Parts: sequence; structure tokens; C-alpha cells
Amino acid sequence: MSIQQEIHKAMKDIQAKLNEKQELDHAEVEKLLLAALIEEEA
Amino acid sequence: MKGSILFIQLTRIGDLIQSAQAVRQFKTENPDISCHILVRTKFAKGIEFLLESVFDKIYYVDTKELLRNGSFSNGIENLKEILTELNTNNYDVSVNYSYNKSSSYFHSLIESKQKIGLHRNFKTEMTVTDPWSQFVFSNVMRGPNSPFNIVDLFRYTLGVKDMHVLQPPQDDKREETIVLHPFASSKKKRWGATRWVELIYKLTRELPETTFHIVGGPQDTTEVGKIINSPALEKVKNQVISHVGTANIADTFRLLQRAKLFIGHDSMVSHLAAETITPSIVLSLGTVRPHETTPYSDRVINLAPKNKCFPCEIKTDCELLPCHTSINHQAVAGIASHVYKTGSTEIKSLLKEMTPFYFNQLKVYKSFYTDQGLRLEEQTGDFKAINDVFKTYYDIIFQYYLRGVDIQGELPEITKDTASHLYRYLEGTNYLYELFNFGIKYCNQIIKKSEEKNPNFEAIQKDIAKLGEIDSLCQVTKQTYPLLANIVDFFHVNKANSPGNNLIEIAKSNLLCYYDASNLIAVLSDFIKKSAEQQINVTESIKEV
Repeated sequence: MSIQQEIHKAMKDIQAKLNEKQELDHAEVEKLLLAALIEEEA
Repeated sequence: MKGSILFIQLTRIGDLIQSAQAVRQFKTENPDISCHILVRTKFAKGIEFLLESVFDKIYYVDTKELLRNGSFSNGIENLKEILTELNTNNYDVSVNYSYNKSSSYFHSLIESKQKIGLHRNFKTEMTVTDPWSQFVFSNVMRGPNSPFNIVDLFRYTLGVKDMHVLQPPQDDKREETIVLHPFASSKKKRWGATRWVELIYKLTRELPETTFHIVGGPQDTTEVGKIINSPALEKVKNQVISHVGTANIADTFRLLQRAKLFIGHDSMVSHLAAETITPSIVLSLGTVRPHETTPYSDRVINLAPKNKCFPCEIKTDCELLPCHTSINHQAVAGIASHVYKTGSTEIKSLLKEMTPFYFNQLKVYKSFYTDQGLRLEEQTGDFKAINDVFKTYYDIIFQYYLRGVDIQGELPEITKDTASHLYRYLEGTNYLYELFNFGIKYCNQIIKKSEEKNPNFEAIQKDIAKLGEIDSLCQVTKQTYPLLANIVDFFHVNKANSPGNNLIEIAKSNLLCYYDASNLIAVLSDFIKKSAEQQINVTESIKEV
């Protein structure tokens, strides 16, 4: 799986959790952080 | 007092320098507090020499390095290592000076006792709880009318009381050199090679013994070629030396330390010039906001266009760049030559001798220190334009409201035109005063109804809906009276971040916000009335606030 594919899958799972108004755990926020760093690098 | 603070600054080099300038002042007042900083390698490595003079430890994050193993999940593991190392410090406070997505997530993952600046809760909702960061988020990120320099805003968030600025060394000997940085990150901010050639040509004629050093990064190589290879500069080739792509930031710093003058755009190099206390002339164009980003030194002349469209927004398309023609190269050369020869940025008498034609479309600001921070004073006119009048009001209002500092002074001198324009704003302040008082009314109703034995939820819902309407009407008022945006936006963010775990607590917090908002708008209305009265009769038919 490419990095972009990994990000896409992670974001999909996180969005599903947020749609159910659940809180994220540390690991999920770390994924959001790394995705943001990659986005800003571009 | 001992303790430890982590600063997060993940944006660009200029922002890093400004952060360091604020923290240096903080450390002067709090020498026993350990200050660490989290930065991006690509922006911070070049100024490591500067950051090391301020911070006790620097943590670098490099996205490419995080992804060195080629996968996102390995990247997460590498990120966890950085976070674990950061959190072993058990920071008392963490401060986010960057207002971007990654910094907000980083901040959420730092286990500090208190957070200042942007962070997120674990539903990814953005949170800004301290008032000065709310000011930055509402006034700096959302509009162009903040009266404060960014360095001062950073100082205020840390509670720095006094000014602790760099002083020139006793034997501050300078060489007969001028450093030029004719480049900027965007076309809108960049004056253009042709105008720079005209300026350099004029200055080489006036200052034949002076050497001109052009500095810039590898990305500026094409642009510098247009300047140094211009036929106009053929005869003065030996006076103009390009260091573009060869000198690193530390080399540029050393050139600035020896130079008598710096001329450039709003950029990282102009902030370096402030660090070397080199007299500077800064050309503010496009999206630049001189009051916010003037390099932190009292030796700066900032030239800004009077065009109505200035400053513009990043997303605004502009092919014609009309603000560029407002800065005449002859005016820049005249001011530069004077500052170079005298070593002083006192230029009022010089400007009176220059043709007024140059200043039809040009504002000339001089920087100076007050007890509260760095400010700009317009040098070409005796009267303030309306934008600058409002900046004066907001300086007084927010200094008092957020720092308890009472600034004494005269109301700004204005023309009859400006007075008429101000008079129109009285109506806007009246609308906002009414709206904020409605906010007080409905918050009180919500609290009262919620505390009843059997609360009527339908009635409470209606009051909550009313508060939503008030917010919408405040936004509409802001569209009609854009110079009132500072107060509208500040309290919008302030209310959105009010503490409270249930409806009654939130309503009580919002009630206090509305009280403060109504008081501040009343003060603003009073300032406007008194200013306008200097020139026109303010009729009694205006509703008294």
C-alpha cells in the first residue's frame, strides 16, 4: 500500500468515528498529525 | 521562578525569528525558566545559531526523515519517538505560536499542565483558551487591521511586562556597504527586477564609494540575474556583488552586522536585519501588513502603498499589481541615501523637502518603541487615515482589556473627510451595542429558565436560537462596517471558547463575554464620537450609548 493509500484508509476510519461523535485516541490523533505534516510539506 | 516551557513554531524562518525575539524578552524577565522549541528542520537549521542563543533545547521535526522507511505506519512509529522524548520533559506550559493544522495536533499530544495557543480536543475541535491567542486567531488570522506587531503579540501571550530590546554594541562600527534583498515568497510582495535596477542605479550614482551586497537563496538565482545583468548596471558592476545562492543565512547575518543599511521586502532577511540592529528600509506590498510584520527594531522605515486594495489577501488574484507603482524608486533612493549618510531614521524634515508627488500614493512609516511595544508612526502627513485611526483605538482598548494597561494620549488628528467617514461608524457601534445587550438578555433568560425546578426546554431552545441570530446579525454588521471586525471577531472566538461543562455554565460564561463586548463597543463609540467632534458636529439625534 502506498503512503497516500494508507493515509486515505486511516482518515476514512477516523472520520467514521467522528461522525458518531466519539473521541479519538492518541494513536488516531498521531495519524492526523502525520497526515497534516505530509500535506503541509507538499 | 523555575519551570519549563515548550514553544511550538512549525512555520517559516521569519516566524521563527519573531518567536525568538519574543522569547528572548520573556527569558530576560524569567531567567530560571527553561525554554525549549519544536521546529521544522528545513526552516530552523539555517538559523540554529540564533535559536541556540535563546532556547535551551531545540527539537527538530523533518517530515521526510519521519517517512524514511517508506510507509505511513513506520512514520507514526518515528513520530511516537519524538513525542515520547518531548513528553519526558513534563512541561509546565506549552505555547503554540504557529496557527496551522499540524501544530494544533502536535499541541494536543504534548502533555503539559497548561496550553497557550491553538490546540485541539480529542474530537479534533480547535480550541484557543487564552485571550491573547484568541486575539491572534480572530484579529490577525481573519483580518488586516490589528494594531500590534506579531512579536508584541507573542510577548503578551507570555505575560511579558516590560520591553527588553537589543541594544547596539558600544563600538558598533559599520562598513560602507548596503545589503539588498529584492526577493519575496510571492510575486505580489515583490517589487520587480526593473524597479530594483532603477533604485540600485540611482544609489550607486549617489554613493559611489558604497558596495551593494545582494543576498538571497538558490531559488532567487533567475531573478537576481535580471538585476545584475541589466545593461543599466553595466558601468557599476564592480559596486554590486551578488551572494545569491552562495551565502547561507549565517553569512547573510554577518553581512548585515557590518552594513550601514538594509533595503528589502518583508521577509526573513528583514527580520535578520533587526537582529543586527541595522537601519532598514522595508517595502511592504501585496499581502503584507506593516503594523504586524515590521521588523522588530526602532530603526525601520516601512514604505506602504495607499491603494485601497492594500493589503490584499493571499487568495486574491492580481495581475496588474497597482500597489507596486505606488512606491516610486526616487522616493526610496532619497530616503535610503539620507538614512545611509546620517545613520538616522529621523526623516520628517527630509520628506518635507522632497516632492509631495512621491507621497500621493505612499505612506512612510517610522518604527519606534513605546512602553507597550513596537509601533509605527506615519511621517508624511499630519492627519491619520481612518484605518490607522481605528488601529489607535484598538491599541488602547485591547491593551486595557487584556493587559490592564492604561494608555494615555491624544485622540488622533483627522481631516473633515475622515471625520465624516468615522461618523458613519457610530451607527455600526450602536447596532453592535444593541446586539450585545440582547445577548446579555437571552443569556440571563437561559440561566433563569435552566435553574427552574421543571425547565421548559422548548423555551430555552428558542433563547438559544436567538443567540444564534445575534451572532449572524453581528456578522452582517461587520460586513457593513468592516473596521468594527476586530471587536466582532474577537468576541466570536472568545464566546466559542468559553469554559463550561453544561448549559448553565456555558450561558454564564457567554453572559460575561457579552458584558465585556458591550462595554468595549461603548468605549469605541465614545472614541469615535470625540474624534469626529473635532471636525464636524455630531448631532444629538444619535442614540446615546
